[in-house]
Order: sequence, then structure tokens, then C-alpha cells
Amino acid sequence: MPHDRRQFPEQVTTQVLDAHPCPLYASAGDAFEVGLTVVTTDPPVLRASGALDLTNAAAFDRALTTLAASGQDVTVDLAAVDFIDLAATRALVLAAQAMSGHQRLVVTSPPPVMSMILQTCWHETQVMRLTVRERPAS
Amino acid sequence: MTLTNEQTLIHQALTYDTVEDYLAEMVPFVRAGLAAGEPTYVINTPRKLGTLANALGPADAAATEFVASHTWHTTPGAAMAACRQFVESMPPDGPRVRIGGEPFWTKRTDAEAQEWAHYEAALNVALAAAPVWVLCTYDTRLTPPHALADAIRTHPELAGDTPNRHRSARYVSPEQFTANGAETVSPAPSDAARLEFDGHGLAAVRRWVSGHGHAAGLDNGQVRDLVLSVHEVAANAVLHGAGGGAIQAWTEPSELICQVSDAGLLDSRIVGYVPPAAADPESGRGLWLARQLSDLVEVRRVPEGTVVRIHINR
Repeated sequence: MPHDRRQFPEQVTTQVLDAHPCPLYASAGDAFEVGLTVVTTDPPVLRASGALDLTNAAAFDRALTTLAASGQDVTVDLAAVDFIDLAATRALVLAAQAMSGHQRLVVTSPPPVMSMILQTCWHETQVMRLTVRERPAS
Repeated sequence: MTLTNEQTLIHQALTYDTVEDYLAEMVPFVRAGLAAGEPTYVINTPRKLGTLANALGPADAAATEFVASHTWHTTPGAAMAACRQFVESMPPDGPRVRIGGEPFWTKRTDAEAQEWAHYEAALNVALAAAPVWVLCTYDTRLTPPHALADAIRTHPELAGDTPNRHRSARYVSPEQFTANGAETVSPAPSDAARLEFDGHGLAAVRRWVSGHGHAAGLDNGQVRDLVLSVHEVAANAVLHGAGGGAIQAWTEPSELICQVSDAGLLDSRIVGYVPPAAADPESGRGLWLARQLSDLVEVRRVPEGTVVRIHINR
């Protein structure tokens, strides 16, 4: 079931995030512009679909932070994402920078713009804990 | 006044009337760099580079890096990114680097010339802490008068008396320079397509811009770059400006222009020129990105607020 964040207090979203698999966010405005689904929590895998931008970057950031708290590598599957902007990319960068030890944030199949944003706006030394597995060329 | 050789940015302008005058300044500039073991670069047209190489002689010419200006001065954003990469590639504690660069002005539109002047001003901030000596040369026969007038206001020092260094009495800070009100932006055509947006309408903005990009004949990669550029500028208006605004799109014979207007007052017209690594981590990246992805970005204060005009060649 889609879970409309606007109808639930913050802790409900967090509880939903603790279960799996579950859709946990759809943005306001354009209906269901993005979906965020925790596929598994062990290992932590987050799947997004639609468009990730500043209107849902805060929810994206919360999901990443919650999954990263496990201490395990976090996989973010962006194969079904057709657009990602600077604000959502920043959420990935900040989540990776907050990781410790050998923990990694692994982003799979991002839209082509994401690598361009990363290369243009961050130095490689700032994103060392972020591993990007590119989409196969179409 | 004689200035000290501090290991931070030295940014000078030289205006010259003849090739002899150019050589009279550049030959000692290059030789002093080589003698000090400094990596030394000269950027100019192939013809002037050849003349300089002859004047330097084979040994000094072989030790100098010559770069054709059309490969360096492509767009102001790309040139600034090249500067950043160049400075970051330098070893810490290494020698200073010398660059004698000549921007070119032929075939530049007024909008481009204004942005190149903003670039020169922004260089003082973007490379402030870099151990680089940049000598920008201006051939008075080829440079429009307004660009010559700008040069003495965007360069803290004036060259022409090597080895002595002199402050430019007319130099003003980048913020003052871009706030002078002399810059202009031509009005958008009255029949330009228009879309109003707020924070809930960014997806619609992207679809609208994508449609205009394809209709203007841009390829998929150009449309992708344009959509992201306009999205980020619109996002800035949502987050930091008036909360929304309007987009206009129109075509010129050689380019598609998307203009984002909002009622917010952007206090700096050089925003997006200072590399993010050197800037506040949470600011300026959106316009930096737009400047990297498009052929020209004009940022202008107008009575109604702020206008950001993004150009993509087609």
C-alpha cells in the first residue's frame, strides 16, 4: 500500500521503514512523483522510482540515515529513477560521508545525470565512501 | 608601490598596442617563471604563441606550455572548472604556477563579453588562495573599449613594468564590480513561451523545458543538460528566492534560451563561478552546475528581482 507521509506523524514513517518490504514515501504535488521502498533491511536495500528532487530529498535523506544506522553497507537501487537533482544527490553524498569504518553506500543504476552532478559538484576525495554502479548503456 | 611576492593569487592585466609591446612583457614574465622553476603556461592564438616562441628561443620555448585560447576560453564556466582542476592538480608546497592568458573578444556577443568580465572578477575569489600568477593580456586592437575598461576594474594589479608590480587604482571587489548596474539584459521577446512555477511544479518545469529543448532541435544529451540546469535554477528560486517564479523560453538562430525570473534579490552576480570545493558546502552548487552544463549563464539583477538566462547552442 502506498504510504502518504502527509497523513502520518514522523514516527509512523520511521516504523514503516523498520518493516520490509514497504513503500514509504510518495511526494506531494504531482501524484506519486517518487516512490521509496525498503526492499530488505538485512542487508539494507532501498529502491526508488520516479523523480528524486528537492521536494522529496528530505524523505530520501531520512530513509538513508535510518538504513545506514545498521552499520552495514547500504544499497540504493535507482534503476527506476528517471531524474535526480542536486538536492537528492547531496542526500546520498552526506549519507556516505556520515558512514564510518568500512561501511559503504552503493548506488546502482542511477540516471546518467547523477554521475555528472557528482563529478561537477564534489571532489572525488569527498565521496570516497560512495560507490556508483552505472546503468548498462541503453 | 612595490608588492611582495606572496604565495597566493597574483592577478594582473596588461593592455598592449603592438606585438612588440606584448613580447616586451611576456618574454621576461615567462623567463622569470622558468628561472624560478615554476610551471609556466601561455594561452593565446596559435599565431601569437608562435611569435612568442620565436622570441623566447628554442630552449625557453620548449620549457613553456603553450595552449591555444579557443581550447581554454570556451565558456566562462568551463574555463573556471579548468582553473580549478589545474590548481588541484598542483602538488602542495610545490612552486608557484605562472599563466599568461589572453581572452579573445572577436565573435563574442555582448552577453558573453559581460560574463567573461564577471569571470575575470570571480577569479579573484575562486583562486584567492592558489599560488598562481595570472597575467591576462589584452590586445587593444582587438578588444572592445568596454572590455578594456572592465579589465582595470577586475584585475587587482596592472602589468607593464616588469619586474615591478603595481596595484590597479581602479580595481573593485567582484561584488562591487558586478553590482555597478552597467550590465544589461535585453528584454525577452514578447512572444516567448512562459510557465509559472512554485515548489510543487518542478516536475512540470522539467517536462516543459524538455519539450522546448526537443522542439528547438537539441540532441538528447543537450536536453538532459538543459533540463537539469533550468531545474536547479528554478530550485534556487524556490529555496532561496521568492519561492517560485516564471520561466520563459525562446529560440535565436543559433541557440535556445531559457530564462528563470523570480522576485528574490540575489546579492551576487558571480554566484556559480566559485568552485564548490572552495565555496560554502551548501551554497552555489546549483548555478555552478548550470554554468558547467550550458554554453552561457547570465545572472542579472532587474528591478523586478533576479533573472538567470541559460543559453544552449543548437
